[in-house]
Order: sequence, then C-alpha cells, then structure tokens
Amino acid sequence: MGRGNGGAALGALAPAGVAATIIYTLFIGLPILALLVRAGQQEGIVAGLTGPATLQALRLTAITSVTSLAIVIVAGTPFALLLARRRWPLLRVVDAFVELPIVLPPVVAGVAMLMAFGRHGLLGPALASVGIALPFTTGAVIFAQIFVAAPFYIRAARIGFAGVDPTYEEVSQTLGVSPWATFWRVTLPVAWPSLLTGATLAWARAVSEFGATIMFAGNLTGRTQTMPLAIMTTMESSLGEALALAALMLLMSALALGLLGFLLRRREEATA
Amino acid sequence: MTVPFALFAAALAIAATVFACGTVSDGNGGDADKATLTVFAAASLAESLRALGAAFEAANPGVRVAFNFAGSQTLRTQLEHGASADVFASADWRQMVAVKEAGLLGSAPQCFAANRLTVAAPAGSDAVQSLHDLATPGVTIALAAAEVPAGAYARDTLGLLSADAGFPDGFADAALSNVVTNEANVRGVAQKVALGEVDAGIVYETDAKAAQYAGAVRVVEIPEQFNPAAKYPIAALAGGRLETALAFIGFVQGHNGQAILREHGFAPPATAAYPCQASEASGG
Repeated sequence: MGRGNGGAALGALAPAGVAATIIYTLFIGLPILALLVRAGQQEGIVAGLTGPATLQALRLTAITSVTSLAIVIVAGTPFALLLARRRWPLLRVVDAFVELPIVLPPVVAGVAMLMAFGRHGLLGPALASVGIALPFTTGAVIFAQIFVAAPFYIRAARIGFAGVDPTYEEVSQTLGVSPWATFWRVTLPVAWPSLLTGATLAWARAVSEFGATIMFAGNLTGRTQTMPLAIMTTMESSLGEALALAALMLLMSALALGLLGFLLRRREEATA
Repeated sequence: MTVPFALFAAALAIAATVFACGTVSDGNGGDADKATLTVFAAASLAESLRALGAAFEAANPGVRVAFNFAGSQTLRTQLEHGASADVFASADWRQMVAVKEAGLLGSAPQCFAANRLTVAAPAGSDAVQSLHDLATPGVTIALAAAEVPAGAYARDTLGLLSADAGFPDGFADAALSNVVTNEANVRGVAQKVALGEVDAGIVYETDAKAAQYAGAVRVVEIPEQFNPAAKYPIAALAGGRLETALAFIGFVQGHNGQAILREHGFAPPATAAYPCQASEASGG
C-alpha cells in the first residue's frame, strides 16, 4: 500500500491482479469465516472444546506432532547439510527423491507403510521377532507424520544451508574454531530463517496428516485419533463437536503462521 | 494491456464452465442422452448392488446407475449437507430415520435385505478361535466405529455375549479394550483382517464371503441369539429422479433383484427371523 510505482510488468497486469486478489481472498476467506461463524453459533461450543474426546485428540496431536518434528529436525538437519555441501553421485539420486512424499497422496504413503512395517509387511516379521507391532499404535501415527512432513523441513534446510557461503565456514575453521562450533556460530545463524520456515511447515503438515494415519495407524480415541481423524469421526455423530475441533485447528494453524512471521520479522529487524 | 485481461477473462470463463458443469452433471453424467440414477448405498452392499445396477441398466437401456458406497452414517452426513442423490440404501434404521427426519426422503423406506454379523479372522492366524478369545488380553480387534451400523450391531453383540452366563462378567469391556481401530465403514474392518493386521474383526457374513477376501479370511460364527439381524432399508430421496428411483427400488425388491442379493449372501427381508420395522429405530 502507498507505493504506486511498482515493477513495469505490473502495469499491464494490475486490473487482473486486483480482480484476482479480491476473488482469491473471498474464495479462501469465506469458508474460513463460515467455519468460525457456525462454530461460534454452536451451543455448548466450550463444552465441545473441553470435552474428553477433544482434549484427548488435542493432547495426542500435540505429543505426536512435536515428537515427529523433533525427530525430523535432529535427523533432517545433518542430512540437509550433507545434501547442500556434497555432490556425491549417490547423494544426488537421494536428493532427487527426497521430495517424493510431498507429491505422493498420503493414503498411498499409508498403504506403502503397511506393506513395509505391517504385520505381514516386508519388515513386519523381523519387527515382531523383537516384540514390536507398529500398526495401530501411537508410534505408527508418528511414523506417518514423519513420512509426510520430513521433506518440508529437509527441503527448506537444504536451501538454507546452500545459501551459507562455505568460505565463512572455512575462515572460521582456519581460525581454529571446531567444526561443531562453526556449525552453531556460523552456519546455523545464517540458515536460521529457512530452518524455522521448514520446521513450521513440517509441523503443520504433521498436525494435519490424515490419509496415511487412518490407513497405517487406524482410528482409536486417545491412541491414534489425532485432530483431523477426530473431526472426520465427530462430523458423522455431532456437527457441533466437529465444528469446535475444526475451529480449534484453524486457530492453531493461524497461530503457527503468525508466530513464524513474528520470529522472521524480528530477526530481519535485528540483522538489518 | 488487453492481452492479460483477455487471459483473465478466459480463466474466469473456464472457471464458470467448470462450475456450471459441476452443477449440471449432478443429474446428467457422462453419457449425454442417458439419465443417471445416483444411488447412495452402505459399503457392505458394494458388490451386490453393483451387480443389481448392471442388471437394472440392462433392463432399462436409457438409464445409467452411479453408486456412492460408504458407511451409512457418512452417506447420511453427506445427504444432510446437500449431496444430491436419488436413492438411499442404509445398513440400519438409525441412519434412514435421520435422513427422513431431515425431510430428505421422497418415498417411505422399505426393507429389502437382511444380514448377520460374524467374527472374521485372518486365515493365517489362530489367535481367535472362539468368541471367548475376543476378550483375551493382547488380541487385536478392528471394529467399525460406533456411528457405523456395523459398529453399532457389533457393540450390541458384545453386550449380549457379556450378559450371557457362558461368558465372564465384563466380557464386552475386555473385548472393547482390545479394539485397536474404529473404522469408518465395515469394509475397512474386513480389509484390515484380510491383510492380517489385526487378529479379528466383526463384519457382516456377506463381507466375510465377499470374493475379494476369499482365502484370506476365516469365520468364527456368532450364534443367532447374540446376533442382531441387520436390516437394510431403501428409499427414494426428495428432489431426485423420483420415477426412476422408484423403478430401481421396485427392481431391488423384485424377483431378479432379490435373486442377486441371495447370491451375495443376503437374507430376505421381513421374515420371521428378520423382522423389519421402522419403529425399532425410534430409540436409537
């Protein structure tokens, strides 16, 4: 707003841009508004939000998504750094497939995981021999979330690390700083916005995971029924409860996005 | 200046066309001159009604039958939220009555088939040999969710078993604590049993007999006194192709339709063993 002299290309596209902006805003905004209005009108919305089923779904979603994100970050960070710094032939093949889960329908991921880790899956008997039965457990929920969410973090982290000039790291090392300390003091601070964005997207994807979860982890209150599964289930028994859950998820997502924007802006101001 | 605007107008035109097609195709599917009858039917009816639909199409060359198979409660939810269909075939009265009370029916519901429950277990597993084994700690069970007709019937059966002298107190609770997943429809249960991912599931007899599970599933029978008969009501929906819908319902209830249903293991409706009364649903 306030700047009337943008790029030259905009001039020709401006009317279409304005019209599209209005249509798009309504297209996305109206359903969200409708959800909030209907949820607000619902009697006993507070009871719906604090009912045992909602709380269990909320708790399970929080635990599984945070666990998934922690695993994704701990394993994904060195992986992304390797992808950004080395061009080994085999690594380039891996690189090409890292983002496959992003374009794969989640339900396909769920079937694939059953075929791999299910009781009669490829690794099922081996897992069973050490007493592990994965399907229909909270662990399966976490597996499904990691499967679909990890690429969002790895991709962003790799781009972030690739943007860090390796000569900084080399200078740091020639000054006698250990590689570990170099990573913490040089690489990480520069790549931070990318990592933060990737982590937020990965967390949001883990929270919203549905298809792979219902296929591989099933649908059991308190154990595998995360918020999206609870919404689907309550939609068929109580619209009010489903609306309460959906509104809650909407607020969580908005909050995550707002927090990300705030952190990125604060950093921009700090480095400017 | 006009080129992007023309492009934008073209994009809008395409969007409008897609939108219009979406509205029109509700009543008029792929084949241009054929009337499409949209049937919403319980998941357990998938094979039998597909066969029935093909026979109906053969007898009525101008009509194409399109199906939406899902848990009856899913179909009921979709109808309540404005899905347009011509016929609703539910696996219980509860969902049919809910649709009726929403003012969506175009004809009085009538029973057209009945079914019984059975315990299905993977052919390669011996964890569940008898009904008692359902309550053995460590056994994993898949059920349809409580909202799903098959899930409601299954919970009724567990309750009846629990009340019987031949079963220990708390049998139902013990069996329910072995449940690892509440599926959205009965076929989800059958599929998880057939894959061997659970030790047992409670499905309809017709599911256990369905061709796609042959060899993968074995059956532990539930005696009749613990086995509430599942009744399938069917009705035309308001605002649909009423005449064709009634013709289809007549076909389902007629000689050919009933023969196809028998072939797929369904029992005839409204016999002494399978009473079919709408009033039973008023409580649930």
